[in-house]
Amino acid sequence: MADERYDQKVELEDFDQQDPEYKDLLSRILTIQADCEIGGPHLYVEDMIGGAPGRTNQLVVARTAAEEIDHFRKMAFMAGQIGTDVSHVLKWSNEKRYVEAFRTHIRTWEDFAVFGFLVDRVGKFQLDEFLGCSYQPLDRAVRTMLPEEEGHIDFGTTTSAELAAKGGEQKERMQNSVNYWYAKSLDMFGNSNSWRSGRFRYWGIKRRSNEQAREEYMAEVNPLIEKAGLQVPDPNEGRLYF
Amino acid sequence: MVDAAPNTYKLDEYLKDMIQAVYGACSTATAHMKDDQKTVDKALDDCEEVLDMVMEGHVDEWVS
Repeated sequence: MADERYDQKVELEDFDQQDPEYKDLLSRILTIQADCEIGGPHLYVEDMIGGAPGRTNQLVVARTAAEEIDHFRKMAFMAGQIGTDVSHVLKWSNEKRYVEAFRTHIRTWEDFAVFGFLVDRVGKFQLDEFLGCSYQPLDRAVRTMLPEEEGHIDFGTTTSAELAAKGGEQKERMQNSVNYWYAKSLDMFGNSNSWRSGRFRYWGIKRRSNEQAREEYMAEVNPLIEKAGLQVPDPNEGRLYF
Repeated sequence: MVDAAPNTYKLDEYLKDMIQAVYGACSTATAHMKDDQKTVDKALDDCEEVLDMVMEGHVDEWVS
């Protein structure tokens, strides 16, 4: 019975006929996803548009922010269509964000790079969850969002490796940044024993358990951290959720 | 059919316009990166202005 899974393909016009738990979970996940999408720009727009080194990088920051706002727009639109207004999260202070990783500010280029390398990669894993999901508008939307998220990750990975390769104090700053964001990234997958995670899978909204997604993330990112000449942080250090 | 939340469509249209404005400014800046630094700086200022406006999130004003 544990593998039992809702196998319906739900369109917007079918939403009203769905089980209350399905409606509640879909509304919840769209709200959190919208919050995460707008949470990124709120971290770095203020300091990084002018603070990134050189005009080309400043443009990268602006374009990245616009793409994340577009992801927010798509999530907010889907939420709005099912009667859930998420527009209030647009102006939330960072401290109110649903996810711990977004309750801070990015003030250095190192942190901007590592955020793309590690946290945007979690974002890709989260969007990936919805590929082939039961709610068809969400399945279609993430297919347009994933290539942009890949672009943010590639930029973050390349820039992080370049900064680390400079060695000395620069490398030390990169290691500190990786140590900080690695813990936040692992926490973003949530509790391994989450009851709700099982319900998301039952209703065909997500594919993997929190634990499985986190393990797959670590298998992908750990070799990349080592390849950049940095140490993979202790996965238990600085964590809130296991 | 479930009722949409108020302003869902208006907010979507507004954000689309804002996002296109940033993309447009980025394209202008990219095109002039090697030959016109004033245009690049102006485009970056435009990006910052639009993004700041979105971050402020005054949705009621946008959809009124």
